[in-house]
Amino acid sequence: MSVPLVPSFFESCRILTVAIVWVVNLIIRAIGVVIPPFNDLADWLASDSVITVLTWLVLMTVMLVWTALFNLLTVMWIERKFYSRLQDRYGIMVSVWSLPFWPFNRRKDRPTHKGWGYLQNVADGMKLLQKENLTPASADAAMFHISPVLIASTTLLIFVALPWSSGFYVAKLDLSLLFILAAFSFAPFGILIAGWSANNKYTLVGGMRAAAQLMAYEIPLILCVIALVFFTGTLDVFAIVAQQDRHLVSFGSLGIPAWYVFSPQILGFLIFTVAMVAEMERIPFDIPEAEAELVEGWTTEYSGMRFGLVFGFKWLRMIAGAALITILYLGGWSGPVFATIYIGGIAIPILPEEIWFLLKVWLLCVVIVWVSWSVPRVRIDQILKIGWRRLIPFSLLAIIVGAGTRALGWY
Amino acid sequence: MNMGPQHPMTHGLWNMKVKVDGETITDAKPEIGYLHRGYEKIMEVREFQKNVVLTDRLCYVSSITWSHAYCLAVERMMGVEVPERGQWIRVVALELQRIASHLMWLAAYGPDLGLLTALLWSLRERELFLDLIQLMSGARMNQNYPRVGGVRNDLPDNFEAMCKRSIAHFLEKLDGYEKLMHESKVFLMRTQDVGRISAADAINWGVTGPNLRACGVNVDLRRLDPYETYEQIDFEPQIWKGADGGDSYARFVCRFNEMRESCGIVLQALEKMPKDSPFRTKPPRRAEGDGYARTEDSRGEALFYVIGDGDDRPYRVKIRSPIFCSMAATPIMLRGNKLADVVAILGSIDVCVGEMDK
Amino acid sequence: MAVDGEFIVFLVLSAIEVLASILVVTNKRLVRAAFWLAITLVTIGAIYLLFRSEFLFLIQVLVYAGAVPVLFLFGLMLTRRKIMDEPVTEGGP
Repeated sequence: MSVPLVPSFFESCRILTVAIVWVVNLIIRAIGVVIPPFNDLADWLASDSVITVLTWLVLMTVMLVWTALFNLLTVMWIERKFYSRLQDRYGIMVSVWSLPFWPFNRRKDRPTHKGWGYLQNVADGMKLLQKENLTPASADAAMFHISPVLIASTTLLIFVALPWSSGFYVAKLDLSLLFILAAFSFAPFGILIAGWSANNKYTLVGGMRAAAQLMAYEIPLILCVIALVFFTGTLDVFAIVAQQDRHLVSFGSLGIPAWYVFSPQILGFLIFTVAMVAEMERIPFDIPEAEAELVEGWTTEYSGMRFGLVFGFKWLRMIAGAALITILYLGGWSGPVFATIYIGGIAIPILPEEIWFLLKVWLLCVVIVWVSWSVPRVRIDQILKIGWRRLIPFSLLAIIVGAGTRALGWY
Repeated sequence: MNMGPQHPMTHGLWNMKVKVDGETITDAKPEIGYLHRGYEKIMEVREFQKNVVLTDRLCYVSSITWSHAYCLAVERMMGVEVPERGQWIRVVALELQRIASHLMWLAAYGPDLGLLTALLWSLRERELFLDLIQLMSGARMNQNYPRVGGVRNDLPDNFEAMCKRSIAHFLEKLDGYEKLMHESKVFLMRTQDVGRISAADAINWGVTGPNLRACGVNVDLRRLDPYETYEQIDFEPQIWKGADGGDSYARFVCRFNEMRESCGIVLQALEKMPKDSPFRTKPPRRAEGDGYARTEDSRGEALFYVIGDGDDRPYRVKIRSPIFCSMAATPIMLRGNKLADVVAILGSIDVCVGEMDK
Repeated sequence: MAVDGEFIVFLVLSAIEVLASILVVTNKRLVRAAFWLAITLVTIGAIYLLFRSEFLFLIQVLVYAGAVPVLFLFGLMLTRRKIMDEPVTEGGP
């Protein structure tokens, strides 16, 4: 019903790359007037294969910036501001007006550190970059260094298959859902190695608890996906969203959209969300990182940007998890209203798909943050009990419900 | 396994050695003394009245109650009678300090369990009471307010109005807290059946205060051995009714409800106190004899035993702190529980290291 | 067999995989052995990917690389009494 702002990300990046290469070629040809061989360089740069390779590089960079810079900063800002307001305080307030250079320091009457707070996370990142990267003397250095890399890389791998609208994606895989789940499931390994290699009782305990919790909650996650696949019949996220792009019940041009949350899969939605919150290691399931007990849990011995990586990737996993929930159950990027106006056959989006997707993901993050900061932490054995004894039977029930309604043709 | 002394969970500076078998605790041994400042000795070199500055800092979260206990002991030794208005003002000060101390405990206990919002909400409410205490005595903490013979100064004129307003606001907020904590399933999961101690064990080990009342034992020194004007006030000691007391949840509920009772006590005291009468008498400078006083401190039974030998400073001061005994009883509470419950249990007994280590 | 890009990639992946599996069995430190085991399993999956069975690759990563090394590490960490040196905190007041 709504259309993407960026119909084809690859094409857009290709145009961008062609433009960049053209500008660079101007300079090279200018040099080539003096030194003839440079003209061949310019021709080689403008050739198709080079353009394609450069396009892929540009595409990956833009996607990286979009996810790990813009979205991460925004979701971190939303969380910190929102929970501060829940706690009756202003929250982070470092914004552009805190920058010490022109044109932001012109106004003398304005308080410098009382803005919206968006740049606080950038400031925190800068602070972490300036810190010393310590390695404990008795730690297993190779493993210690490689585990943040493992966690970070597999988290970023999720975003290869996770589209942000029907045009804004890196790769369109047939089995994208499975790819995303596989990338998610690599985390317990990295965390366990991180916890062990720091040679610290507390991190070891934290790492083992984290791995146990993550593995316990992957099972209801995948079972709910199985329940959903009975309805969708495909593992391709594009197809799943396309199936939700219609109206269940219409009242004229409005109506209840056919999102899977409104179907018999509501049980699956609830279980999936709970399991996803546990996978994101958020309170109430954040025993692995329980500050009051284990300092920082399995990330205790990390300092400087290594800590920043692991810490920031917790938020990135939250974005990925919320995006997955949105795609599977909340209709992804399909917007029920304010869709498009057609001018001379060209669909012009009023609220394009990207905006719908971002709104849903951010709203889901807000809800998760809300719950996070209102409840205490659940103890690890209670977490595991919930995972194994409560969620798995319910997700099996969801499978039965899914298969049953599909077989009986009710949905 | 060593928990502390540098550990975010342990509020204050003490060490806890726990023996773990997997995740279950088999034994525990607290190691205290990191904050020992030699109080009982340094109080011997100061004059009686000047020791109030020190006793404030025994338990810095709940200073008025400790200084008051000391002043009571010295008054009993000297045979000094505090005028009635002084006694009433002391009751008001004590109960306000009790509420502030319990709010500080709540602010520490919530984050222990993972509920970081409790920290900010409790501290926000605590500001109300710190403002009242500042209005009354001039300082927010370590106020140096009780004196041997009364209190330092009278209540200011606008104190009563402000007190009533603050307490009305606070009672409303308490209802909100109940929703956040009492009715939260996760909170109940974390605190019920955790850290249980039987009434017999608690009495044997000398546990007092809300920790003992949570086991169902009706011991509140304000009723048992009344001091000041507590006999004339109508309040109910918060005892856990029911069979399954003695766990962290019972301790939490008892302390929480005590805050409500204290609000009632303050309002009653403000009504009943005589206006325009002396609040202080001048005690003698030198004294001989001995006197002891036990009071219901925020954390239990605080006892002072002061001996004077005719000089203007005490010959010997003996301090009994409630947390010293509660800490000794922690191995019983910890045995059989999981390692992750250590915070829930130790937080619920409201440790204040200052009074434990003296 | 034509020596084309596919063959080269196959050779590289197989070399990594054989090397990693040798490292699994010869490494003295068991945690590193678990790490190389994970690398081995992922590379085997990559070879599946080369043969155009993406489903098998994903299932391999999901089940094997996601679960088996973790199981191995759990067994390792839960059964060793002395994994590391105790930090020296016994000297107190």
